[in-house]
Amino acid sequence: MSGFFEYIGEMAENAIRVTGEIFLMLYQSVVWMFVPPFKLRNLFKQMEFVGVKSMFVVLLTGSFTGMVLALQSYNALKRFGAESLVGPTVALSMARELGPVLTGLMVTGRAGSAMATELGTMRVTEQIDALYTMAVNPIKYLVVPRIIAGILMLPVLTVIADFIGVAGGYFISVHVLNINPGVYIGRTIDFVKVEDIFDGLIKSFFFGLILSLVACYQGFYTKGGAEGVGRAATKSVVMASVLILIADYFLTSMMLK
Amino acid sequence: MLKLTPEAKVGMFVLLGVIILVYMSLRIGGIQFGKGEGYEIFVKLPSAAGLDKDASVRIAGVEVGRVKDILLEDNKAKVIIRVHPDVKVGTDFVAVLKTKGLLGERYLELIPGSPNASMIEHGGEITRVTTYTDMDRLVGQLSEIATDIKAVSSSVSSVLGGGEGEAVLRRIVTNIEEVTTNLNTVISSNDEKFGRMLTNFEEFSKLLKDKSPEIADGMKNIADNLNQVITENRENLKGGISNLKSASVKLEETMETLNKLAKNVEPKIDDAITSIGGAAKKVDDTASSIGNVAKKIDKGEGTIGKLINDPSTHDNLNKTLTGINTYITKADQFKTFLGFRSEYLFGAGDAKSYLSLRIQPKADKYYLIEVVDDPQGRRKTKTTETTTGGITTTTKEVITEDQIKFSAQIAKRFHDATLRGGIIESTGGFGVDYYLFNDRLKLTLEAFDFDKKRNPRVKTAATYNINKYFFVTGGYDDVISKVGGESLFIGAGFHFEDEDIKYLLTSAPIPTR
Repeated sequence: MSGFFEYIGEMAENAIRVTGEIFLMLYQSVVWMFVPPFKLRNLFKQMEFVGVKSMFVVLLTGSFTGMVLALQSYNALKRFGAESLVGPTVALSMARELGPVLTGLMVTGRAGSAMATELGTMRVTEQIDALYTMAVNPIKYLVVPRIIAGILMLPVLTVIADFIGVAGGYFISVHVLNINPGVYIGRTIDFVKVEDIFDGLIKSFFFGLILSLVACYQGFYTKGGAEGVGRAATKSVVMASVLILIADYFLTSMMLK
Repeated sequence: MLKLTPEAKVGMFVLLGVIILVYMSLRIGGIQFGKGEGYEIFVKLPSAAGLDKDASVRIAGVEVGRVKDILLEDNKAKVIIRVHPDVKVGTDFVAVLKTKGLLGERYLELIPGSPNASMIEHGGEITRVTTYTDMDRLVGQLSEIATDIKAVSSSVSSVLGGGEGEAVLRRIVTNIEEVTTNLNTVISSNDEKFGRMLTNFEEFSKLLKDKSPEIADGMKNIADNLNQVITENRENLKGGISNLKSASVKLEETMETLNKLAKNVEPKIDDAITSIGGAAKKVDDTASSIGNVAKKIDKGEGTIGKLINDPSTHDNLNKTLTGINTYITKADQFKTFLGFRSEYLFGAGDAKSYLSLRIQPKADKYYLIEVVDDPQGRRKTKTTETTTGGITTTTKEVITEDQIKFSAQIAKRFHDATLRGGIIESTGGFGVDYYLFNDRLKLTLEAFDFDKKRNPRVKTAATYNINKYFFVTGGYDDVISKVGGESLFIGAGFHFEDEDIKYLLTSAPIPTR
């Protein structure tokens, strides 16, 4: 019986500890972010990895999401004779919700897991300890560039996803569903505001922070050899994805106020 | 292949993102007004329901501004509008709250008034407001009507329903019942009286029948009495009758006289009637002949008929008018200018003068006829052989002689350039004029006198019109001369429009196309 309570207690303690460690890491990263020297080369490498190399995945997901949105919303809106609203539906969904969230999830799967694995391997092969002995702060050297890359690259990827999604929706609407292209674009411009796009970008900024921070955290505190590295990768993806979706809800509710 | 550094890749990537973002923002944002742009006016609406800040303000559906703020003032919505600076809002504009589509967003439409109305300044108010029946109002009015109906029905129900109402109804019914009962009683109780009345009537008729001989006797007495009265007054009656007779004789005589009179008058009346008849017939004839003429004209018979009915008449008339029109227009466009200019040639140390007549039938076309007095007109190579002491020396000498030359050119203008050609200074040639600064400055390049031995005479000049009449000119003559004719020149001249020559020329027949 006491084992059950112990289990719950451990879980609670664990959750609190993880939260604390993550925030501590964030705090340290922010502090180290402004301490020279700034190794820009390192940062650009991470930006290339997170941003440029994720572009293809984001293009694929974005375009197909836009296309399927057009199909689905056409199917629903046709019943009210409101086919002209397919454009706004696709554009608003992409800009406000699907663009940032899907980008966040895809980058988590692609780059987040890689970050966790990389840092985890460095941990279990004691390279991080080696950095300490060389008087190099591993937070500054390893975590800060990754977090900055995540924060900066996610909005850019989101913009691309938004655009390619709307383009995909346009393609399907005009060439498959025979919606008037002028109406499609006109309605979209009528309904979508610039704030919608920027709201999405603010979201993606937070998603970038979440995924890079979680991945770094999971990798940084990896225990238990090769197996531990695998576990860290899995954990980072699951945790970052869930946190992104939760954060999405709260960010949306704050923005719609 | 070029190996890109991570920095370059990231740079390109970010640039792509920024370009897309800017593009989308611009497309979606449309006309964005800066904070300081435009001017502010306001309008007070009875209801601004559904209107948001930043909602668009439109004239004829075109966005001309945005709603800056919505406040409550005197229980009305005070909508402050920022209007684009180029857009003028008149004091008689009408503001209407409208909805885009059935479910679309709300916007404020301004319906323009007369173009002469004064404009609303910054901080002014649009005083005219129209409220359209929208869904909200419609539902509101319907619910008001429903309330009224409900009130009526409830008052009816409160009168009739409930214990009191029921009692009243019952009383009414009881009263009606009583009335019918009474009626019944009255009828039944009078049954006997009716019977007696009928009996009386019967008795009366019987009495009448019994007493009829007596009545007949009474009548006879009356007749006897009457007879007696007549007999007593017979003489009087006779006199009256004879009077009547004589009166009738006189009447007969009068009638006879009248008859005679009538007979005398009769033929005259007859004549009158006949003559009236004749006149009517004549009128009739006239009318019918007018009718005939009209018919004939209508059918196209006769000259007038042909004139009126022949479509070619109309066409001819039209053509004539068009012709006259073109002629007048041509005469109107037609301009002739007389001009004189003189250029001083530094090379020759002499002046060259031009007298010109420019005939301009259209704005873009003219004929130029010039008489030129050229000091370098004729160049001759004179060979003189002089034999001095057995040695013969041959001297060649170029002699330039004064010469009067003629130019006749045709010119056509294309936008700022005029191409002209024909005879220039008694030789074949062509030229280009280029006009600048509203034709004030003219740059000229002309070439003529194409001679194999010497290069053609190329002349460049710039002419500046000081005013309508006077101009100065300057340039370089004979630019590529082989015989040393190059010369800088400056000159001046005047030209004026000559109406007399114009009318002389236009009064001569001009063929129309």
